[in-house]
Amino acid sequence: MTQEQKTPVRSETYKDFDIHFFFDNCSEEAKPKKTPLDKKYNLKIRNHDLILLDKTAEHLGMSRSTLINLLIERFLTKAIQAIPEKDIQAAIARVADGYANTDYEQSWQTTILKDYIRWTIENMMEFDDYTQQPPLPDIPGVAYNSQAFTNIKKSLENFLNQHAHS
Amino acid sequence: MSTLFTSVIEDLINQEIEQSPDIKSFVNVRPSAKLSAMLEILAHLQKKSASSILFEEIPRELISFLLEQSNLQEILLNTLKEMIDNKNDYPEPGSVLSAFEVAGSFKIESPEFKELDNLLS
Repeated sequence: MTQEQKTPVRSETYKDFDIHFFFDNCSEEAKPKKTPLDKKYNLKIRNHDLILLDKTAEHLGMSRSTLINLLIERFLTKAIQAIPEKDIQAAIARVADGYANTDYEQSWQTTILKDYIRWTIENMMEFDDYTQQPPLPDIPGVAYNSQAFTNIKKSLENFLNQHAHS
Repeated sequence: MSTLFTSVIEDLINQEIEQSPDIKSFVNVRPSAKLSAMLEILAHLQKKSASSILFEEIPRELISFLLEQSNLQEILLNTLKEMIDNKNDYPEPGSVLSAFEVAGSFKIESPEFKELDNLLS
């Protein structure tokens, strides 16, 4: 169906030009289409590790690729959770989610916040607030980012620039 | 399995893996967008390729995963049986299986070894 055949949801006339809108601001058509990241890797593995991997998958009733993806998710989650600086965790999670183009529910931001959501609910019930202590600094103008965050920020910006058009 | 024991086994196993760079097989992996994105970022930050991170981390994570399984013995036993069927009597040095052997999780005695042992005793 062409736009001419649709009924416009809004029409305006400007200097003898008719301008018709066929979707409102909330329309799905107005949103940019997401294309999730699709990558393939060649995993090098020792022969006996491959047999072990297959036997493990067989015992658990899953495919080899499902098990490999499970292992990847486990070590990546551990890697990001092992970073002591929370600002770096958040920055890396945000850049990864932007690069992956996935929904928020599936995001790394949700993954790293899993434990905190439970604590936040406890705080809401106990203190009628999201946090036990005021989230804003007492002294204005004090930078709360870790030194490591400042260092890694540039590297993440480089990553975004390199993958901006991929 | 106690945390201390698990940790000791993991250390021994990781040492064993690092000792041998022997590579035999290639497997195609297509992780989800979420996993690929984080993998690419870690590779960028660590100045390594995503594939080399996978090569290093998958065996380590497999060990950690296996140590959590209640049927670990069965999994190892079936793997060893397949190795013997394939005429590969002993785990490849540097493999996860070899690491479990070094950590004392199991021991394989070949018929030749048992014969020699009987002669010497």
